[in-house]
Amino acid sequence: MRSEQSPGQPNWTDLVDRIRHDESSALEELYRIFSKGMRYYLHRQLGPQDLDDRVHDCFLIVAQAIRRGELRDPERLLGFARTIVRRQIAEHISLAVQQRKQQVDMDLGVPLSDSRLSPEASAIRNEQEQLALSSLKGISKRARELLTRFYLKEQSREQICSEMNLSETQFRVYKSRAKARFGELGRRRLSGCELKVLQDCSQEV
Amino acid sequence: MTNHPDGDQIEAYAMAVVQGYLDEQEALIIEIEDHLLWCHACLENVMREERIVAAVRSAALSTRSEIHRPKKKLATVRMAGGGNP
Repeated sequence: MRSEQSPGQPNWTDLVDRIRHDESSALEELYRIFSKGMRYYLHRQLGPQDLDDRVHDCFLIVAQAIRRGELRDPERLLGFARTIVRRQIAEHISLAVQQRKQQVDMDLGVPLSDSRLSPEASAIRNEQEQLALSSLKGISKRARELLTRFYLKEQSREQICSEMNLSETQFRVYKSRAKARFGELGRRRLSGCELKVLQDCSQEV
Repeated sequence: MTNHPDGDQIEAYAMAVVQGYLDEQEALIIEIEDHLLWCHACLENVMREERIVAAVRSAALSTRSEIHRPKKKLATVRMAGGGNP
């Protein structure tokens, strides 16, 4: 049975068929389609380290499985690829836990790595927090209240509408505007910071 | 997934990711993740939304001492129609 497809979704049957027939353009297409999504999941779970290699590994596993005919139903390609990525993540985490355990045993219970942020990463995070804070303070009180209720307190739309006297349409419009304004202020302040850094650098040279 | 996720679904997914209560076994999550694997436009929307959620939370948290972090299923978020945010 064929699953229903989203608009714009590639034709998986055709793509899988071409890969099975060793068409190099099909492999390129597979990589173009999946590499971004795979990168997103891998980065989210494992961070930036060795990201390109990990994406490449996942892609190769998927491509080789297709070539070997292990994917019987091409319509299941998405689920198959997602499973491969998750399996790679699980394996990596399991390996890392094992390595850390061995390291701790070797060092008589004193772990080598420190999970705290490096001074640089900590400084960047502080700057980002200050930037976000000044952007939030820069929007109107009502917009700030709406965003805080929704994103921080996780209040339902119904509760926010009721307590802020908003219709559902007003809620959508105000939230959308508040987000846009917040994002715009953040970008402006960020470009201001970057400009200041550039000016500082040029003065130093 | 017969269509692209709507704005509410993308928002709810991004919030679940940022706040760490994403249930990877939930049917709707699986559908969205399968979709994000190939749909670059929706993936961009999710990443943008994650940045906004993280920034608003970080800013709002620095002005608050307490935070509620309810565990809730993505499917319980009411999914009204409409486009992306």
